[in-house]
Amino acid sequence: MINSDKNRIPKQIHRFMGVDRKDIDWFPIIDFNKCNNCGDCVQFCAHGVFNMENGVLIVQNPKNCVVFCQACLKMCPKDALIFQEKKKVLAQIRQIKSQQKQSIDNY
Amino acid sequence: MNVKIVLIPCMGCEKNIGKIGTLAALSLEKSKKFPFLRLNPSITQIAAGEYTSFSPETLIIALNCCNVRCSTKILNQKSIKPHYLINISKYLKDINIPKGDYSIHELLKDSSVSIITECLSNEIEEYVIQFTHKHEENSVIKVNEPSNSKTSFTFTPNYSKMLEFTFSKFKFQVPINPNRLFFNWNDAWAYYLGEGKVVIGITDYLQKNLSDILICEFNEIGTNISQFEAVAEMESSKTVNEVLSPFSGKIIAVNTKLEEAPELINEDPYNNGWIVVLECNNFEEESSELMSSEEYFNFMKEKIEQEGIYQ
Ligand code: SF4
Ligand code: SF4
Repeated sequence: MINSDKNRIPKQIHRFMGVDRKDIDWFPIIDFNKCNNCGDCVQFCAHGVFNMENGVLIVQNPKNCVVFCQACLKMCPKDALIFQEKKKVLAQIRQIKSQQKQSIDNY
Repeated sequence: MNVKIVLIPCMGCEKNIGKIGTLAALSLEKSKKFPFLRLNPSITQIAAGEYTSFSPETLIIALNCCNVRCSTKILNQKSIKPHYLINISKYLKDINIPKGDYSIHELLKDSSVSIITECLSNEIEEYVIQFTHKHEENSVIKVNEPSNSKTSFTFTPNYSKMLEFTFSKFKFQVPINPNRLFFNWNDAWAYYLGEGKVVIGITDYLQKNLSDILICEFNEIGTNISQFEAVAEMESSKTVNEVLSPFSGKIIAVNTKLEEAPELINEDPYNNGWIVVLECNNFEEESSELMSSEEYFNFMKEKIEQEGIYQ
């Protein structure tokens, strides 16, 4: 059965505070003025967010990044990773939540 | 300083920084600044036995040169707990490490070696002073036990049941208390004490993923924390991690036992391994956004089933 009920249950691990992870802007941005492409973060992050492409660091899977984690920034020897402000992202999440609620209420 | 020190560099051969760190360790040994410092190469299968024969007064210091932290990891594999961890990558922000393929001999002349040697020497000196201090304090027989000036807080939570999920050889527990326990998506729990106060800790799942926790550093009492900001930072044999607060508020107590025994978090994450107490700014609203025990249990289960465990 393809359309079993089980398949329709939204996966919790793709959600954060009840919001789809895809809608949340939380991921590292590389400061190429500081990054020396040492690759430590590629090995460090357990979620496969980074990769090296021709010796240059790239953010390959931004939405794999755990919302509000900043562990790689802590360990980067060059302080070369930038994240959005948590406050802003939290406000974004709350806004999406209230929109969801509204659309359910209107339904 | 007559404390016996065994310094274990990573012997990193892949990266220049590994070679430079090892060279710095060598020149520190040669300088005789610490007469009882001995340099040991990272343990191999063969030499492992030697490390268990160290006297208890010997300080074992793991020297990691990059964030792969090989030295800590190898020690961990051999079940040896270092007294202190040094990660020289924190000194690299303002130092230029040569890029490209250089031999040890070529790097020996690089200015970074002497800078790192200096940093290393200072850090070890500071630690040894701290260590001897503690040792002396302990050996003085206390006739008059000083009255405990710190307001001590004993955490005695009430859990009605433990939910359990088994995956390969691991069992992951999540306790239940329907009115008092809350979880966030970053694997931290909060236990409501009443009057707007919560105790914060990490879950069994996170504890097992980190494996042996070696250091837990908290933010100071009195610090104001926003929701999802870090109340503490942990370093384990495998990685570094922050404890992200489920609530916003002010830190009013920290579990000082963790300074001496961070392993309490591994042994007893929901009781004696508690981390801080927070006076919440907005308990009602923020608690409604968090997960209950059952919700967190399902979230954790999906995570494990999908991602496995980082071992
Ligand atoms: S650890 Fe820092 S410096 Fe190294 S590749 Fe990653 S971002 Fe760049
Ligand atoms: S913040 Fe955490 S999850 Fe995201 S890339 Fe860094 S280490 Fe990986």
